[in-house]
This record gives sequence, structure tokens and C-alpha cells, in this order.
Amino acid sequence: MPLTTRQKILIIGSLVAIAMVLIPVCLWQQATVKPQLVIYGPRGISDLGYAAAQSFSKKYGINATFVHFGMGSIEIVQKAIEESKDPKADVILAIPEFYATPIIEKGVLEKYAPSNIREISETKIWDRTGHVTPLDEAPIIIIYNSTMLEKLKLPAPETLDDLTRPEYKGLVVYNSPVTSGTGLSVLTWVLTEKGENEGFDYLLRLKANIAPVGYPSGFSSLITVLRTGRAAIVVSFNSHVVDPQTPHMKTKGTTGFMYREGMALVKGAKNAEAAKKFIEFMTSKEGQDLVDPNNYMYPIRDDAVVTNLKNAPRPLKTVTYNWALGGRADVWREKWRTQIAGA
Amino acid sequence: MKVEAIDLSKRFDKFLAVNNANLSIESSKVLSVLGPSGCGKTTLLKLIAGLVPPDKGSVKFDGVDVTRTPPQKRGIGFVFQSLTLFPNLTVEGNVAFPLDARGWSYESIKTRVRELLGLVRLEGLEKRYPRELSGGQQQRVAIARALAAETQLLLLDEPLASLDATLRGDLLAEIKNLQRNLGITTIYVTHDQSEAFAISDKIAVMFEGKIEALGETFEIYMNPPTERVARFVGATNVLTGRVEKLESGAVILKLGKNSISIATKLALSIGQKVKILVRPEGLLIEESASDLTFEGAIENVLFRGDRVQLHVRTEFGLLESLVRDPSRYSELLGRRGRPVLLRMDPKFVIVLPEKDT
Amino acid sequence: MFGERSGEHRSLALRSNLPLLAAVTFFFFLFVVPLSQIIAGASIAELLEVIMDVRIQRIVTNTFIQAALSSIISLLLATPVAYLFAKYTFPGATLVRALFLVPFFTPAFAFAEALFILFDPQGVINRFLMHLFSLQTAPISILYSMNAVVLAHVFYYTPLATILLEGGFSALDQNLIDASHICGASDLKTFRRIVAHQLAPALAAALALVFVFSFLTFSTPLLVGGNFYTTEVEIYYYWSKLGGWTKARTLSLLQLAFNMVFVTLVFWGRERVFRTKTAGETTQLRKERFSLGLLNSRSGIILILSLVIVLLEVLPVYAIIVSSFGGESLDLIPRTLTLSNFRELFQYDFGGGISFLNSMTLSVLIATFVSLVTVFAALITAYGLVHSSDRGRSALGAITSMPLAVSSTAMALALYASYGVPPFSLYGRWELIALAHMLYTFPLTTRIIESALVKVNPDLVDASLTLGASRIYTFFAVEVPIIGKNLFAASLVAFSSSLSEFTFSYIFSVAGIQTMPVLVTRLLDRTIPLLGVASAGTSIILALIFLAVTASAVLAKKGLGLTL
Repeated sequence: MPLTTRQKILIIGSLVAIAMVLIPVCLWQQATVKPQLVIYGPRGISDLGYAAAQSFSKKYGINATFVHFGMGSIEIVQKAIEESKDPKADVILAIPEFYATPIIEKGVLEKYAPSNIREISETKIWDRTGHVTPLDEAPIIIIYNSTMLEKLKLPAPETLDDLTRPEYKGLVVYNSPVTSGTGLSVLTWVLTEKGENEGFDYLLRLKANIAPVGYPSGFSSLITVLRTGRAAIVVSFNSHVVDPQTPHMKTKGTTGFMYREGMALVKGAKNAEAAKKFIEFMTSKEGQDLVDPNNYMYPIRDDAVVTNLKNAPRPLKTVTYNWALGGRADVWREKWRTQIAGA
Repeated sequence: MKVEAIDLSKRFDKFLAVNNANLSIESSKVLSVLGPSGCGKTTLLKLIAGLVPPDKGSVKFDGVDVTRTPPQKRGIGFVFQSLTLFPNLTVEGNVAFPLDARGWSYESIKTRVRELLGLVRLEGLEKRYPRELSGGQQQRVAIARALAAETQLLLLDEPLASLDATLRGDLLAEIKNLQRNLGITTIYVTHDQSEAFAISDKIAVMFEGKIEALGETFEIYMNPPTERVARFVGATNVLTGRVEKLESGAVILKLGKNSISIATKLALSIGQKVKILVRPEGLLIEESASDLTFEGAIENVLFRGDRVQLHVRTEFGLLESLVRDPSRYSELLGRRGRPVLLRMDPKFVIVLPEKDT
Repeated sequence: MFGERSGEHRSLALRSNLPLLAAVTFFFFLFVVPLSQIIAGASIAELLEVIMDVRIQRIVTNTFIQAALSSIISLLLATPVAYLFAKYTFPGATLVRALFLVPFFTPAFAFAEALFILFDPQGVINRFLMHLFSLQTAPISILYSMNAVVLAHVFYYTPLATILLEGGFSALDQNLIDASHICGASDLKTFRRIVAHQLAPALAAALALVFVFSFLTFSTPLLVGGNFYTTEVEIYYYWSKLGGWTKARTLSLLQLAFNMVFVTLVFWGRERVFRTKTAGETTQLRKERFSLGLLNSRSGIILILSLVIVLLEVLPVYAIIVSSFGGESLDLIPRTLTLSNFRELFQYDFGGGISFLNSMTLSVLIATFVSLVTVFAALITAYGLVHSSDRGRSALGAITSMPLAVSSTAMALALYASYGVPPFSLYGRWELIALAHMLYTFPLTTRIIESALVKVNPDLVDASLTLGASRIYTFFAVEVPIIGKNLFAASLVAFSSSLSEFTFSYIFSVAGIQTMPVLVTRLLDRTIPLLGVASAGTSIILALIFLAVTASAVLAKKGLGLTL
């Protein structure tokens, strides 16, 4: 039966109103139940974070949530410091070794070592204050595109100093330390090896050899740069060598920097017990088995599985962070921004 | 329904659109509001409709003050100058709209729509959209729509302005018929005096927001209160003269070397300078001289289809005369440039005091 | 055009102002409350320090120059294409228009990838030119510079500018153009003296919008700009610095003020200078059927140019799609096609039990909800705006456009501080993302609906009232159907914007609440990014948007009805 205008308006209005009610109902179950464990971590380890939270939840029946706020590792640490008076997180994941000092000094973390810490090799435990439990690690090394260098008839670089050689002009690339954790790790390597002043001098000299693309802001843009042959030499994680998207990448593997990150219990955490359990879980084989498949980094347990990075080259000699430098990553970023990038 | 507007005023920013307008119209009668563009007649209509709130004054329907009543509750129908059919609705949908808005049932709506479309002779066009209709058809639909919900007052704002001449005549006659058959009180706004005269019982003439004349159609034409009104409602020759003698209900005016007796209700004094307005149809061509004739020379002869228009140079200036017999055209054309005798028919002469322009 | 605007003599009765009041309240809670978080955190001393900082001055100047270039070039390219769409009908016109609009909704990171494919020294365009002109080196080396950012923006915003200008072209008074030709004026003279004046409001609106979007740009400079820093990037940096939040807030405020001044000037100028008063009825631009014979005339040059621009515009989207089907991404015509990327996408475990299908459902539901609520709110707001005075309209129009002028990152954190924490505790719930999306889509949606509503003949409203309809009934029975086409356009803009929105979704994502763009980014953020799978994800987002655009055009029966 034909409808009057009034009826048509009422029908359309009703349909819209129904939709506006139905949709929230459909989405209702998507809302997270009040979490019984809040895990902060950088966006870069989302895969590991979500997987770890899910595995832990399943195993212990404790509802764990991983959040990243779209932030990198430095920002997450800073967020935790800002929230220290009323902490929202229970555990912080992927605290970089070189940025642990501020968070420890500000008293944001609770001293805690899980009961299975002894199952970890002594050399891997890098926080002597007893706040941060190691999580995983990966080496930053010098990688080169073998095909490109062959074409240019150039020898493969081995050390940081090699990179400043004039024959590598326009061929070198590394991530911007301002926007990328990887880049910050590179910066830290340089400063660890050479000290702060000489380190920045070195980077200034290296600037002459940087590829026209500049300093890519993120890891995926770095991959694109390497993939499209915009640079021949990169200072970055060893995963590039086994990444099928960046073929021809090799390394002499002479030296490197071991980037290490850890996890810690937040002081005044609302779910402290669950947090402790989680740290223990992530130290166990079950938790450590999640590291390589999800994060492309090496677990700190010797008996944990390594599949992705199985064939990745490990450098002969690596330096680790020099704690005497303190936790000045913030200052270095700013310094790099103004002195090196010159923006 | 009797309609009254009392002391209505409306200002838009610095512009006084309607200034103390007063009018009334009896039930089932037609009042035209006549005036040049921009004189405020549309605003006046919208004030009566309730589409615009007045700054001052009131509107009464059958003695009831409706000034604060919103337009949708006044029981009015409004036909706009621009064709305002709802473009997204068919003819049927448009006419049904007011009934729909009042929540009528589907069946009653269908019956009433059929009735109305029959009234405006648009049966068969129910499913058409406005863009598929001619201007005249659209206005007929607008009228049907305005009458749909048992309207008490019909307001028309220059409804024929966007139509061509032949259509105008037809549609005007239709409106007149409709109004008479339905007995609806009607206010008709126009700037065309022939339209106003054709359709109305009463006329209000408006200039610059003020109603300058209000009265029966014939009275307004034959006895306009001011020169401006006189000029607006019809062509007028304007001469000056002097009051020679006073009589009961009339005056003797000295016009050149002639004297003429004109009926008037005005209080004039002997020797007073007056304006004498003569309709062209009251300026007659005479073949023989008399006390009432004066001389002139035909300067121009224009054939107007149903009449002949003459421009005659006289001692009083260039005057216009109208000869109702079109067959005299060739004869009058032959007399161009030659002297001619003229006489004023007192019936078509209006006398006004000199200051009253 | 049709006489007095129906707002000018409405009474100040509370009832007639209820919609405006409701709209203002909605806007207050949606935007002003979070904004106060930003303002409260800023400081005057810091503001002065920031303004005096040479580096900041340089960055702001660079951002301004980039935005100006982006908007001017976009407009120049958009004009012939808009003319093509407005003037000519041809089979598939609706589809072409729909396709043309898709790039605007492409997430920035996907677009950047596509630009690499096209403009890289080894990319499609350079290889084509090198082959054509037998060159040894790539002639175009534009990436990693301000030019690359401008290029990305031009690609991004030309479609939007085109659709907006198309509305302007369609509304041209054909009578005036014909009169000009009859008087002997050439096409160029007619354009300069008659058409440009009528087109000015649409041009101004498009210019303002593209400028603001370009000024606020974030992901694009990060991805293709190399060392070119913009204000938004700078703000983001300060957010990530300990103790930098005050500076970040101060800079956001500065950014907002700058954008507001610009937008207000444009809208004020539009109302004052270009308010067209026509004496009688006007006619619209006369449409012609497209025929190949037209290609010989002078207008043929415009047509060919337009077609080239349309093709170029669609290229990045094409590149993404090719990449998603497993093709060697640097080939325009892939040698092999496979569905493996799509298979992997739907099988991939994103952790927390989330699959791409879950995310798709979530995104579509959120986008639909956001679209419905935003359009409804925008409708009420537009109604209130249309029935204010002219001066009120431009001021309110500028205010309701404000969310566009604020840094997304700043807004996200402000929304979190206002509604994410107790007492509302919306963090971790889809409602927070929906709220953010409403904020994000509200200004444009309001603008589209308001521009359509203001053109409705006020006599129609009066007619309806005299016919016994209440004001509300009149609104829904008369005004809303008349602007129906524009309502569909507005809902499509809201839907697509929500579907492809990234910043807010990313910051507010938790295990169970991850929209499609967030999942795609996660595929790229991995240590070994899954580029092909990410392209597959992007292709699906774009396909959904394309469907929405086409559905909207079909429902509206003709054209897209996007006007500003």
C-alpha cells in the first residue's frame, strides 16, 4: 500500500534510530572487560605484546591487556614517568637498556626479580639495580647490498670508521634517532663506542656519506629505501639479512652493538601480583618462545626457540651500552636533531 | 472569514517595509493590494500570514487576535510568486502535503486530492513532477494545494508574475471563478492594476510601506484620493486650474478660458489652485466648438488593437486621449498635425488640492 | 537568489533556537572540552618563547609555503577536471567520479608506498620516461624533499578540490555566460570577468580546506619529506619528550590559531565579497553529451588534460592494488597475479585473537555508526547555522571547522584525558574511537550539509508552514528530501573518513579494538614488514570506500552532491 509522506518520514527515522541502537549492541562484546593486568609497551612490539598478553591470559585466566598509545619505546617510558603518581600500568615491556636509568632514577619501578631469573645466563642480566628483567635482544650491525657494491667495485665496510671513507659517499643510511627506536640504537652504539663528543663529531663526518634520501623516519621506510636500492650500506638490525624483501644484503659481521630491552614491575601497580606472574611467565621458556616468532629478536633464554633469526648473522664482537653515559637519550635526540639533521 | 490588519508595522534593519498599515476585508470578498515593486505589499501579506512577526500592530481573523498564532495554525493558503511546488513530490504529493501534515488517512487524502485536481482541471497529471509541468499548470497545482485543507483565507502574492500574457488572463479568470464558487476570503497582491481591478471587490494601494488608498474598486479608480494613486491605477492627464465658484457637491473650475463643473466632496475655497486629473477616455474629440471645448493639435496616433491612443498638444501641455473605436484609426491618422477640438467629460475628471500630489 | 533568506526574520523564540542550542552542546562536549585540556596546558611565556624561536619560525614558514603550494597546485589541476565533470555527461561518469574520490581516503602510509612505486628513480614513471627519451638517469628525483610532500598532497587533495569545484561549476548561471558570449566576449574573457566571480566561493572554500589539511600534515612529511619538517611533526616530537608536553600544547595552540585566522578570513571574504545577488531566476550550467568530436576544439585541450589528470590520480591506487595481488610492485602490468597476500591477510593472527575479518567488522560498524550520528548532528547544526544572520553564519561556520585546524595527536591525547579516564573511562572501548571519528568528520560533514541547506528556496519553507506543517515536519518533509543527494554525500564522507582514519584509532587501540588501518600499519611496523599483505589490507579498505562512494551516488541517483 502506498505510503504518505508522514509515514515515510517515520519509517526512515525509525530505521536510522534502530541502526543507531543496534550497532552499539553489536559492538558491545568488543569492549574489553576491565583488565586485571595492564601492560605498557611500544608499538614496535605490538605483535609480541598482544601474543604475550593472550598466552598469559589463557594460561592463568587473568585478563591481560597490552597498550601502546601509538608510542615508541622512549615515549612509553616517559608516559610511565608522567603517570608515576597514579600509575595506570602494571608492567612495562621493552624498556631499552640505554633508557632504563631515567625510569629507575625517578623511582617509577619496583625492585623485582622473578623466581626463575637464575635460568637466565648471568651475562644477560644488564640491570644491576634489580629493577629491570631482561626480555630480548638483537644486534645492530653494518649491512651492505652486495650487488650494488660489486657493481661499484667497492669493498664491504666492516667498522663504523669504515663508513666515513670517501668512496662511500651517498651510499650510507640509518634511521632518524628522533622518530625511530632503531635509529636511536644506532646513535647509542656510536656514542657508546666513541663517547659523546667524539661520537657527534663522527656523525657529522658521516653526514657527507649519507644517501640523498636522508634519515628514514621508520623501519618500514628504511626497508623501502634498501629494497629500491636508494642506499647501499645501512646500520641497522641484523634482520635485514634474512628479510626476503631485501635480498643481496650481507654483512662482514665484524662488530656490532647489542640492543637489549627488558621488562619491569611498576611501583604502586594496581595488579602487582599479576604483574609479577607475568614477568615470571615471560622469563619462562613458554614466554620466551614467543619472542623470535613475534618480534624478530633473540630470546634471552638459551633454550627458547629461534626460527626467524636462525640464519641471521651474529657479529663476532658486540659492545653493549655504557651505563656511565647515563640516561641521556632525550638530550642526544635533541642534539642530533639540531647538530646532525640541521633541521 | 473577516480579516483585519490594525496598525501593522515592520522594519528590517534601517528599512521600514510596512508603516502603520490598516485594512479590513469582509468574509468571502477579494481585496487586492496594489503597488509598485518594493512598496511592502509582499511583507504586508506575510505579516497577515504570520510568516513575519510584526514590530507593532495586530492581525485579527473574525475578531480573534491571531498575531501570536504561528502560520501553520491560521488556516490560510498561500500562493507564492516563485513557483514553490515541492520538487521532490509529484502533483499528487504536493496537493496531499497539507493533509499529510495534518495526519489525514490515506483514503481521505486520495479523495480530497482528486476533488481538488478536478477543481483546477488537472486530472490525469497526478504522477507528474513539477519540473514536467508548464508554469500555468504549476500555479494551478499551487492553488489546489493552498486550498486543500479547508482554507479560510487565501493569500496570493503576484501568482501570475512568472507567466506569459495569454496564460495570465486565463488563470486570472479561473482564480476568480474558484474564489466565487468556494466563497473564500482572498487577499491578492499585485503590481498590475488591470489584474487588481479584474479580480477584486476592494483595493488597497500601497506606496513606500503605507496604504495610501483603500476602498471599492470602482471608487478608487474614479475618485483616487491622491495624484500618485490616480497615476498608478490608470493613465492620467494632469492639469492645473483654479476654483472659480463653489456649488453644492461641486465646484466650477477655471481651466484656461473655459469653465467646467466637477462633482467633488472636497472642501475647497474660491481662488484655490487645484490639480485636475483627467482620464484619457474622458478627453473626447469634438467636431464642433462649444463652451466646453478647447483647441489642440494631434501630434501622435497609436493603434492599440482595441482602441486608438492620441497625443494632443494643447495650451495645457501634451495630453493623452483614448478613442474606443479602433476603426477610426486611419481617419485620425490622417488628421495628424492638424488642429482638433477637445472636451472633458466631467465623469472622468478628478479634482485635488494642489498640495496633494 | 530566491529572495529573503528564511533566517533573517525569524523570531528569537527559544523553540526556533533549540536546534542551534543542541548543536552547540554537542559540539561543546565533543570538541571544546578536550580543547580546554590543550589550552589549559599551554602557557603565555612559552607562547612568546615559541614565537620568537628562529627554528620554529622557519618550520612554520616552511609548513605555510608547502601548504600554499599544495593548495594552489591542487586547485589548478582540479579546475579542468571539475569542469569536465560538471559540463559533460558520459557513460560511466558516476563510476569515474567515485574512483577519482578514492585517493582522498587512502591512508597516508599506503599512499607514500604508492608514490615510491611511481616516482622512485627505479619507479614506473621514471622508467617510462627513460625508455621514451632514451635517458641514462632518472629525470624525476623528487622524493625526500618538500617537493615530495607537495606532490603527495596534490595527489591526495586534487580529488577533493575537484568534487568541490564541480559543485561550483554546476551552479554557474548559464544565462550570464550566454549573455557574455552574445556580447562578443571570448571564452577566456567570459571566464575572467563572469565565471571566475561566480566560481569564487567554491574556489575559496576548496582552497581553505586543502590549505588547512596540508598545513596539518603529519605522516606524509615523515614518509616522503626527508629532512623537511612541518609544525605537526615538531609537535609530535615534543609530545614524545619528557617535559615537552607544555611546548607541544603551546605549539598546537599556535597551529590552531593560525589555521583559524586563515579559515575565518577565507569564509568572511567569501560571504562579504562574493555574495551573489541575482535579480531573477537563474539557470544552471548547461550540460552536454561528451562526444569525440569535442576533442578537436579548444575545449578538447581541457578535456584531454582532465583525462590525463584523472588517470594519473588513479595510478597510486592502481599501484597499491597491483602490489596486493602479488605483482612485482614496480611493474605497472604485473606478470603474475596471486591471491596469496589476501589469504595470508585473513589467516594472520594479529595477537589477542584478532583477525582481519574481526577488524573489518569493527571498522565498518564504527564507520556506519559514526556516519549516522555525525550526519544527524551535522544536519541539526546546519539547520541552526542556516537560520542565523550572515555574520553569525561565517563566525559559527569557522568555529565548527575548528576541529580540522588542530593537531590530531594533540586532540587524541586531549580526548584521552577528557573521556578516556574516569569518570567516563572510555579508553579500551570502541566508543572512544567513535567519538574521535565523530570529531574528525563533523566539520566537513556540517559544511557539506549547510551549503546545500542554504540553497533551499526559503519560499518552500514558508509554503510548507502556511500549509499547516510544523517547523520540524517542514524540515524533514521538505528541506531534507531536497538536500537528500548532499546528505548521502555527507554520510559517505563521514563513513570513508572513519574507515580510513588512522591517528586516533592507533593511539586508542587495545587488544580487541583495532581498526583496519591499525592492523595494516602493524604489518608494516614489524621488523620484517609484510608489504604485500599490507597492500592487500589497504586494497580492501579502498574497495570498501569505493563501494560506499558508488552506493551513495546510486542512492542519490545523480552525481555526488558534494558542495561546500
